[in-house]
Amino acid sequence: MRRVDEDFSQELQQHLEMLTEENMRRGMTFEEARRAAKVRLGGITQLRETHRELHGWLAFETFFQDVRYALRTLRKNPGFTLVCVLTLGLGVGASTAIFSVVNAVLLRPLPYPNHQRLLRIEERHPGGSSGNFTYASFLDIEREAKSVENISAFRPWSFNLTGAGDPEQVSGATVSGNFFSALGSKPLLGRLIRAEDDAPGGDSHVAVVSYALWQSRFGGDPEVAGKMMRVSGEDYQVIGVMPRGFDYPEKSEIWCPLVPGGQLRDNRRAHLLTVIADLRTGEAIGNAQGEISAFAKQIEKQNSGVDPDMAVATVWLKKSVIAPVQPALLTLIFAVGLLLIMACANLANLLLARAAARQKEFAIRLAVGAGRVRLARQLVTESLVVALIGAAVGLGVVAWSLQFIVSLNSRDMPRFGEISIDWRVLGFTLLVSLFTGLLFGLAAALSGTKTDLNISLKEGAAASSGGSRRGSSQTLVVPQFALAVVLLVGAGLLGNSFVRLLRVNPGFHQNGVLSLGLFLSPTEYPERDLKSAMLLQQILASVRSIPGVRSAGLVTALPIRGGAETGFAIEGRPVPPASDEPSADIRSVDPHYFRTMGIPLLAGREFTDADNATGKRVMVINQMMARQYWPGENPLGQVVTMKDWGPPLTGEIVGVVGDVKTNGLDEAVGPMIYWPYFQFPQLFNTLVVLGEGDLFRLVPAVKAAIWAVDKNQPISKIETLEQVLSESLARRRLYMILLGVFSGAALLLASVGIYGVVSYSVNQRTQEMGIRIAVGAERGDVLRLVLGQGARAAMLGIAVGIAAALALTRLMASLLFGVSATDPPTFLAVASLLTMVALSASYIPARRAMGVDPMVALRHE
Amino acid sequence: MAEGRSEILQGTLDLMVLKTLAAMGPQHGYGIARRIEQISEEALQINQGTIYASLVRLLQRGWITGAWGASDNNRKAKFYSITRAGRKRLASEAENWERISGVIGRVLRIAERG
Repeated sequence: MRRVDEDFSQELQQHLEMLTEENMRRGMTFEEARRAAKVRLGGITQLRETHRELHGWLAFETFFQDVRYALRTLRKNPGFTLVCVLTLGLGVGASTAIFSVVNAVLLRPLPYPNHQRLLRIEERHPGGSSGNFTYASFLDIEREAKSVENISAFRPWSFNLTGAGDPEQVSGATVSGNFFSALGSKPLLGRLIRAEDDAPGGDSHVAVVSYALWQSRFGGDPEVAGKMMRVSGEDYQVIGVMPRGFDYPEKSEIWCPLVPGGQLRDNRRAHLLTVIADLRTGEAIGNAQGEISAFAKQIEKQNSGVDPDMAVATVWLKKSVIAPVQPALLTLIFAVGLLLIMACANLANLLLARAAARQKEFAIRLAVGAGRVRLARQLVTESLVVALIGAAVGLGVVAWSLQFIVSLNSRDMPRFGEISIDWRVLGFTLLVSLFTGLLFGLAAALSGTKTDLNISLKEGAAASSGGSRRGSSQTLVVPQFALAVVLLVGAGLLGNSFVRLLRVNPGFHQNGVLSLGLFLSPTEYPERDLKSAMLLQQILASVRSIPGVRSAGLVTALPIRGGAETGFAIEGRPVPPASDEPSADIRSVDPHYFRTMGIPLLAGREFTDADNATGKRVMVINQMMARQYWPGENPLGQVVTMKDWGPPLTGEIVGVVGDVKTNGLDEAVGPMIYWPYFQFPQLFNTLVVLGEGDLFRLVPAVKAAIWAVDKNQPISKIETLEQVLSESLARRRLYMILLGVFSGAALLLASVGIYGVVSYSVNQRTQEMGIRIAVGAERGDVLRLVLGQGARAAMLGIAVGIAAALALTRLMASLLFGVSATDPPTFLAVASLLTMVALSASYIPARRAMGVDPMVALRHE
Repeated sequence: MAEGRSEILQGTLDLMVLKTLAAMGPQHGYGIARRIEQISEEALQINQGTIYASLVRLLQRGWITGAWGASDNNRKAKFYSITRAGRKRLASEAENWERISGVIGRVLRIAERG
């Protein structure tokens, strides 16, 4: 390439000399001759440039050369290239990442063979939320329902694995016989639980293990079927292994037959079972829903004492699984769509502006013989190269962001384990961006090249295309700012909610408390036997003796995470109808619990060691219960009967304590009844330890203290209360971060957009501005003129955005806490921010315009 | 760049270069430009430099070839010569022009008479 260039220089030199000679022969002096020759030859630099381009241009017959040329052009304009690549990368990357999440969670079918027929049957009570069945009702439905098959029930459970290996507690589920048939899943090894295993007389001591458990506890032994393991103090036989990744429900690692104790069979109060079924092939879901709802009425009729407001509903299992996150994810899709549109608009803007600036280059090319087709091909290649680089950046964005999102996964978020890069979506977004790039790049270039070549070359392209260009690019600024407003408002509202939540007082110590799960083996410590309470008493004493432990207590379920509930009745008051029966949360605690947790005593007394199995039955209630049922009166000494947990339990209120946020920081507090653990012992317990200094340094000592009392007692879920609180906010935090990132990207795109527009406009009107200044306009006026243009478009965009946001944010109302969907400070803040951005992004090029030397401007083409 | 000069379409310039080379034999850039000016009786006064764009185009299409050689005065210069493909092209283009100008001529004569 350089050789050709040098060659041509020489040729021109020779030509010049020959012309000079001719002139001298005519009688001119050397200087005159030379000067005249130069004029006659034409501008040497121009000729060389044209020759270089033309030579290079026409020589590039292959795509590869096109690419090299494109790369060089892009490298010569690093600013433009960078912005284009970033715009594309952000747009493609962010949209693909979010869409992959939405796809995995909302759109893809559940990963079970029977996914198309899987239903969830829910028992609904006004005020209840779980949809769980009582065992007795489940049996009724199982017996009678015709439009569905493979009806099964399951209950998530914790299992203590002892014997070979460390005592370990794993999550799992007890399932009825049809569970695996309902899902349609097949085992990796061995067989699955069948109806016979679950029936009376069947071998109920069988277990199916997960792939992970098979690996960790059995070393992936292919002969594992038939081996024995000790589960919750009893011997179970392993009958099968599930394929990798199967963990329904709730990250289960082991499945055992349900086989409930005799009492549960007739129990219509304990709502413990999740019921699923398959729709019979050929049946419509409407039929199933009708048939099953009818049962609700029948069950009520046949059984007094059942809530007459009970209803039974049938929904697709998938819908019930994704319901908690559906509104948020839909909001995210919307945001993503907007972002992609913005990125494409920005890209289009940039390409249009760039093409307009290259008018002259195109005009020259066409004048010296490059065909229009050739030119188009070159532009296409340039756009493609930019698009591909942008896509590579986008891919990086996708990979990183998906990794980040999955790492935020808490057990709270359904199906997050299924997230992976969706290639279809990547392909789609890539295509959209490529298409936009090509379309606008081509369109701009070709429309520009249609103008009269001569005029273009002589007068510069500003006149003919500047006006229309300005108009179209400004119309792109308006939607960009509008979209940025909408996204920022959304992010602002979520952020606001989050901050408010962080300030909510949970009702207990947030720092310095460690919690450990202790699930007692039901065989060694039969329910309602005092052995369990005594074991716990010893454990507590052992832990309290550790230096660094200020206090230790016990509770059946930690706050924030929710727990057992019961219906109750107050002695001496008329019995309300079954549908109005009051309910409260219940917990069993030890005398040191309130102290350890920092829950204040408001009236009466706390439990003491005297409140044991032989003493009078007593209870402590929370402030909410006191206010609700004894407003203005003293609840101490009142007698309450609890009904849902076996035979009714009656106790006298001896104390009132402060409220804790039972079901989450954003949930209202309800009535709560505390029992002393000797009077109502349970198998599931949480040990809470108030310690000094670094809590995790205490963990080994606490474990040792527990094992010193019972070396086979598994310990699970060691975490601090701080972690519990943080985890409960995980989902909100995720949404907030996601939307925040989005709005950040949108803001960036909008700024780039307006900067480009104003910059281009300044460029095109340099001549005009030079004239204005030359005829006496104040530089300030020029500044205002330039600023005014960009600012007007931005203002319009912001106004449109505010209006749109006002209309749209009510869709996310369910995600907000403590702020209204039209919170004025948030809207105001966003509007101000974007105004400032618009002004500063316009100011920089305007400043440049002000500094224009009129003479330079007038000469500028 | 003043008025009175007709606009030269690139195609016709290429054609004239080819014709010049066909008639004169191998020639360098200056010579070709000079020749065109002469023949057109100074009606076509182009910036001589624009000749080089034509030459590149013709080179690319294989209608001419170029080689360094010595001019009279023993000056080093690049000489261009027409190729066989070039001659064929010239012939067909010339034919086209004849036809077109013939038609236009006839049209103009009709107009005059009517």
